[in-house]
Amino acid sequence: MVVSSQMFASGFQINEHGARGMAMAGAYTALALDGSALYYNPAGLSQLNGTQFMLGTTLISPSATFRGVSPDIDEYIMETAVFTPINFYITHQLSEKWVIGLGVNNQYGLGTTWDEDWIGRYLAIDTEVQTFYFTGGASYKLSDEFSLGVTASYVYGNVTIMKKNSLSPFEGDATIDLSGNGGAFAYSVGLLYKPSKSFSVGLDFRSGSEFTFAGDAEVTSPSQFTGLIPHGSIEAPLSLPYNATVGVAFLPNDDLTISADFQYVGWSSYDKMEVTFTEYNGEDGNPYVSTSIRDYTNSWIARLGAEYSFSESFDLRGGILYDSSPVKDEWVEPSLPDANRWGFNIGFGYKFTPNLVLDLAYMYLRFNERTIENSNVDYTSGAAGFNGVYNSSAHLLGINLSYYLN
Amino acid sequence: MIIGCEDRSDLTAPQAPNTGEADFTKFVSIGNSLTAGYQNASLYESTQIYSFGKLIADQVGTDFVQPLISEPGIPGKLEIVSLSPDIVFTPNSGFGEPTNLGYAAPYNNLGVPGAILFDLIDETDFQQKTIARGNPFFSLVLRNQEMGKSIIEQALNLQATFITLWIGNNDVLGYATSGGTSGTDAATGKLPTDVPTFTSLYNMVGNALTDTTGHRKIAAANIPDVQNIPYFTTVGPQMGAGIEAAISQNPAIMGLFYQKNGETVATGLASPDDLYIGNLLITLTGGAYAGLLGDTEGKYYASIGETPPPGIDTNQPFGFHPQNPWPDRFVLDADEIVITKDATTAFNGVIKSTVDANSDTWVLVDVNKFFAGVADGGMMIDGINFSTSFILGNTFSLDGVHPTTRGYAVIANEFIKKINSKFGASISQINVSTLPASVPLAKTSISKESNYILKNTPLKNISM
Repeated sequence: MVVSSQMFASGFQINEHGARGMAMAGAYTALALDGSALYYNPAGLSQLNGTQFMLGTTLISPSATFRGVSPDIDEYIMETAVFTPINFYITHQLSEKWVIGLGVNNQYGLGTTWDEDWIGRYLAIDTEVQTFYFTGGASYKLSDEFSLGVTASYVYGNVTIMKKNSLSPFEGDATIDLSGNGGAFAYSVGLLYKPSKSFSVGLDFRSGSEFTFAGDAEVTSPSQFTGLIPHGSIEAPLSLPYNATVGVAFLPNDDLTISADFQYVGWSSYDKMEVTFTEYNGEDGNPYVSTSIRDYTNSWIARLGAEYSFSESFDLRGGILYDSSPVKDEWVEPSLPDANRWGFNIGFGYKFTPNLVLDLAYMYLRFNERTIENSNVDYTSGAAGFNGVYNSSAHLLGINLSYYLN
Repeated sequence: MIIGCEDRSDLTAPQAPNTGEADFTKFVSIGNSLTAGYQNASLYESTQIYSFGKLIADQVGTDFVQPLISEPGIPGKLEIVSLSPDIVFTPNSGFGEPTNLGYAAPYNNLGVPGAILFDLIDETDFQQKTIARGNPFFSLVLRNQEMGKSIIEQALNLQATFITLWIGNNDVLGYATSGGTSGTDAATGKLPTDVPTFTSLYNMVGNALTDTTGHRKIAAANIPDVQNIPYFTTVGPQMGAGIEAAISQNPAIMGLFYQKNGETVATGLASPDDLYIGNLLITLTGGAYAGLLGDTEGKYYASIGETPPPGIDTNQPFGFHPQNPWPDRFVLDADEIVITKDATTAFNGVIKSTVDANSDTWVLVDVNKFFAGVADGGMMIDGINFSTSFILGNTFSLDGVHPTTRGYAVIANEFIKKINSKFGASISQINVSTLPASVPLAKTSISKESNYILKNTPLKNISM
């Protein structure tokens, strides 16, 4: 099973970890009504009775093209793939006040593949990032209005990057395969405030995490270059961003819920990708370091969602979101063809029995066409900006089954 | 607005640029190997498509037909066999073939490798000339005298509206690369073309090409000083270091004994310093024998398959004794350097006079000045550092004389700059880093006697 995702939220964040929240465009921080509260807002756990299981996946089918390099207008098409980040949650009510939970999901991920001989081959051919969040959490009900929640996660991540490298001034290319993995910790705290039946506010803060990936670099090159290109053991630090979200939900009557979230993402943590070749010394006699500037900016996502109950057993949901890209024009590159985007969501929940629920969500993600004219990303062995036009979109299908043991 | 169709209105293909008073409808390049796109001691398609003429034609958007030759070129191109610990390169043992000999008009690229100025107007049958000169390119490029009896005639028969002219290099380079042992002057055949001959020939070419109606424009390049090219600057310092080390072991060694012009027993003696600072230039072809310095078994004569001439004593250490000296053909000594420089200066004066006399339609491309700049500390262009260092300087190919693909692109940009300023054109310059690096790598490792070996050349610029 491939557990990964392409640029599905800005940067390489994945925000869809439960089909009910996803169908409402992720405007779920003030609701957090199922096991995915472990992700959206752990204070929401306090609303969950008995023992609950929730298992699901999100099928993601992205597409992207690049036309360039300016002034040329040749079109290059990213290879299609379907990614399947998973989510799994178990919650258990210990007492009137305490609910605990365990969960697994993939909060960051990325997968892009371009033709190995394409014009951007020195920038990206195959890029894959996976993260697994193993999370434990608990909520405490301070009062009927206030709940608090916390989580702690161990995060396992792995990265593979395959691209080509110029042998300039010699003809031809070498192929560089970097792979590495690492672990990190993260936590989150959440607050849920429900002053009345018809209104709630949620706050959630998820910490960033600091990885040091360790792995190795394999080089395939003409025999003349054997041993001359950086290779062997590598280390690479990576900082994933914090997220701070505020959400509100209105329930004007028993059947309708309207919710909105504003999520702020601290992507400026990702300023560069720095790979140290611990066994290969550069000209200065120190381990060789390859640095790629990322220079991300903090970004935000605005979400609006709604849910309408047609019956005891059927809820219809929809939503819309706008997600701003943390990647500056001058640093956009094809390993992550990022852009501001709109997401359009629809979905439903169906109760087979009071204890067994199916949630489905579909999202169409439309990236704004992005024209780059001031690229600092060099696609040659000298200095030539990777200017051109990116167009991307994605279809996502979220599926969850939940089972309640009362 | 959001889900609507992609906006492709910005995606019009680039328009042909304004070429001002210059009309590129029929664009012809006249010259020698530098115009042909020759590099790595060979002519072959994957670099011909980056000849400076073709690069200009692509920027302008005009047709430019060339006498393409399949891989590995004619003759087989030089290729890198190994890079570490020493750089070793050797000619590919295969041969390429012409692929569009049947093209029914003169080629737009009339660059003939090996051509001297005289060859532009010479009307000798091309096949005869190929045999007489041992140069296949007269018949490969010019083919049939029905297309024009000479290079100039073929250009005029094409009704060229724009011409690049870069000729005269071989009138001095032939002398220099032979270590001053052969040349192109009428009287002795052992010196550069004599200045009166060069002057009258260049004037004839100028008169033939100048369009009295003023329509046809001509960009003429001059001749770079050759003593800065890697063909002359690479091996000498390495030998200097080797000799210095030998002297420290054996103080009886006096330095490098080398044959002055025409000598058998040598009177030339050079110190390591002479070799470091270039008072004495060693040719790149000499690099193959630099490892034999001090040899007392006659290996040099054995490897070139010659019997040592009378007066040579191969029991003496090679290069360290007057009776077994470093060969004349691998050295350009101080006197020969002066002859080379003087010829270059004189030829460039002639070229400038011709351009000045026809300044309505001619413009000078001062390639000599440009390369002097590259030689003097290097030049960063489009993120690539161009210098005259061998191989890693990015400018020159493995033969040490002809540019790399990116080097040719730099030259094309020099032409474009002059065309723009002189004729009011606005042709875009080429981002040279977008062209492929072009130093060839051998597919299989081979070892033969004719390998060029450069000792201990550091290679630490491969980054990622």
